[in-house]
Order: sequence, then structure tokens, then C-alpha cells
Amino acid sequence: MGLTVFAFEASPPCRGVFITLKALGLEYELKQIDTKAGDTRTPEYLEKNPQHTVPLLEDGDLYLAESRAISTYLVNKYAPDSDLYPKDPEARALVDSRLFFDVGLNTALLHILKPLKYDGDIARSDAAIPALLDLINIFEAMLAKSEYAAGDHVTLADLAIVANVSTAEAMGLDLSGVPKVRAWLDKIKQLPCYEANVQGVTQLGVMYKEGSTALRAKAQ
Amino acid sequence: MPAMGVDIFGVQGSPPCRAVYLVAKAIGLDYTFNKVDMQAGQHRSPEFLKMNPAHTVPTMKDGDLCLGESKAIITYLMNKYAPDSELYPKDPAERAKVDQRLHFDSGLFSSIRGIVFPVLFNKNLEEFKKNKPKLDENLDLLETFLGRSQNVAGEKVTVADLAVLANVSTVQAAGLLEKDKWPRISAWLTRLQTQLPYYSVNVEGANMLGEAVKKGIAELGA
Repeated sequence: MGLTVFAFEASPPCRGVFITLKALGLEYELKQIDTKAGDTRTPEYLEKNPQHTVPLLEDGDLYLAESRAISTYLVNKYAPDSDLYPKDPEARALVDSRLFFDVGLNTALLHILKPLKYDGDIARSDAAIPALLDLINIFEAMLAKSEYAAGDHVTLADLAIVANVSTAEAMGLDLSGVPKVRAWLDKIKQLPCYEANVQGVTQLGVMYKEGSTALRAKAQ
Repeated sequence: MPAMGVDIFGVQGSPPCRAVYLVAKAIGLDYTFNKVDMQAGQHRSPEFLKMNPAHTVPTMKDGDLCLGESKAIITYLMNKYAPDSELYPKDPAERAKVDQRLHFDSGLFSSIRGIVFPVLFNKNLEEFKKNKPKLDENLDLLETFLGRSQNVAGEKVTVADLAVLANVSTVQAAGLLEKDKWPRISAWLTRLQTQLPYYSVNVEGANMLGEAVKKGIAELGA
């Protein structure tokens, strides 16, 4: 039967799942979702996912929302011995902690992107940038303690966080103050699975740069 | 089951902290509660930042392991101290359903924070009004979930119920859980409050925060 993912490429949490699927070598069918066109609000979609969000995983009878729950499920179910999500409780806890930290990163990103996409409100969008940079500074402090996001090797935490941090970079946000984050980003970009992030992050970066530039010009 | 070294750093009011206390009590885990003086900035002290650079509560220390994020603390305590418990099932699909709801609960907490901040700190009626629909939307979702299964993540009580309980009990204490709008949530809440023998650990904090919010809303004239 196989896996199906309902998603759109620009979305960081969707990209987090794409990267994980690629890292695990899992095949899947992609069903394109256009949220602006109302694809997540149809009765059929709401039946599968009342939260009307992407990404959504379909695996047989199971419908699973929440990108990081999807990623941990994929390892637990299809690659339970993978280093990406270690079984040892302490090591696993650190990955989980970083995955929930990543939720905050994504929320902060949305506070910049949503006012732009839905309201054309550049002032509110720009005002939200410091909060994201604060979190990236916290990630810098986390990387002082370990080479990767959650320890000494690549885990699901890196694969999730890179979707958000690469987006900040593609948007042209100021990452000059976070050298460890930049070095970490370069390392993760070398991973074969990172390929699954490229198209979407480029798309989102271009969208943000064009959209924000246009609105700032209008505001002058 | 006593565990020699589990320290939880937190405060009473905070729902994510109370979610951790509920889980610890549920599995009979001894822990030391360390009150964090956030008003005095204790969570930004060098010692605290060493444990958790994100300077948030709850933070947990167990031997060499220091952990932020309530949900990660919860699943760690389960994996480490109660790995066979039904509160956090082992089957990948069943576990995923719980994880999914734990993430939903993070969003629920965010929307509660969206009420607490304008009411208690910013004293901003406009902001409260702007953010209230988001809380209501999350409650609507929870009502939908509880229409599909007895408990938040399925038929059995899991750590997802305990996390949501910490949040929803606060909403109720704030006078924001209208029974007519959310009958399933109200019934689920009453059932857990009555049936869980360890529920008492949540009461003081939920009432404290809830009542402060209730008072604040009245003062704003909302």
C-alpha cells in the first residue's frame, strides 16, 4: 500500500518530513496541498486531519499529523535500530528536547511569514524577526555543548531544525552572530538527505525576499 | 519507585510544569521540586543556562542529563522509569498517536499563553480579544478529538491526557471553558479530575493561574 504525504514543499515542517523519509530510504507518494486554495479545509481532508494542517502522513489506516511525530513514527516503525533516533532513554530524550525546541523555531518563523502571506503586513512581519534570531542564538549555545543538535552524531533533531534554519538563511536574515550554527548548517547540507530540502527552501526564500522587498517599497 | 536524582525546576502556575508533575506522580516517581524564581530572573542565571540554554521551565536534571521541554521530559520519564506503562504505549502507531497529541498540546499551551500575557502582564484588552479565537479553535479541535475516542489520544488514558489536563484545568479555572460549547471536554475533565488518584498535584497551580486570569479579564472589562 505504501506511504502518502499530504504537503507543500515550501513548508518547513513538510520539508523536515521529506528529509527524514529520504534519510530512511523510504518511498512515498506526495499529494500536493494548496492551503490558500482551501485544500486543507475540505470535508475529506478534515476527516483525515481535523487540525487542517500539513504535513499529514497516511500509512494504511493511520493518519498522522505533526511533522515531528511523523518523523519519530517513521523511525520507530521502519528503522527502529537507526541512530537517527537512538533507543537509549537519555540519548532519545535529548533528541526529543531539540525536536520540541524546533517547534518554537517554526512558530517564530510563521510569525514572520504569515503576516506577509495573508495580510501584506510588513511592519508586523519585520517586528517578529528578533524573536526568531533570539532562538537561533539559543541554538548557537546548544551547539557549544555538542557537535550536532542532539549529540555527537546526526539525529532527527538535525533533520527537523535544518528545515527552519535553512529557511532563515534563504530569507536573508542576519546569521553573522552565530558561527556554530553556520558551520553546523554547512555540515548538514552535505548530507545526501538534505537534497529533499533544497527546492522548497529556495522557493520560500525567493517568495519572502520578493514579497518583503515589494511591501517595504510600497510603505516608503 | 524511588529515583535518587530527579530534579524538576519549575513553578506551580505553569501548565507544562504541572504536566510533568502529573506524569511523575502517575508512575510513582519520587522527584525533588525546585521552585524557580522567574520574577528575579533565576532562569537566566549562569547556572540555569548551563542546564538549559533556552531558559525555560520546566527543566529537569537526572544525573548528568539536563533537559528542557516538558514533553521531552515526560517521554524521558516514561521511557526510563516506566517503559512498560500503557500511559506511553510501545507500539509505533499507538505511540505516534500520543506524540501527535503531545504536539497538539504544545499549540494549546501557546494559545493559552496568548491569553495569559495580555491579561496578566500587558493589560491589553485588544490583544486578549485578538488571541481568544485561537484558544477557542484549539478547544474546538479537542472537542472533535474527544468525539472520536474516549480520551485525547485513543481509548486509554495516556500522557497526552495528562498534558492536556494541566492546560484545560487552567482554562476551566479561568472561567473560559463554557460547558455548552465544549460538553465533551467538560465531561472528560470531570472524569479525570475525579478518577485520577494523583490529580491533586495539579490543583494548586491550576487554580492559582486560572483565578488570576479570571480576575485580570474582569479588570480589563472583557
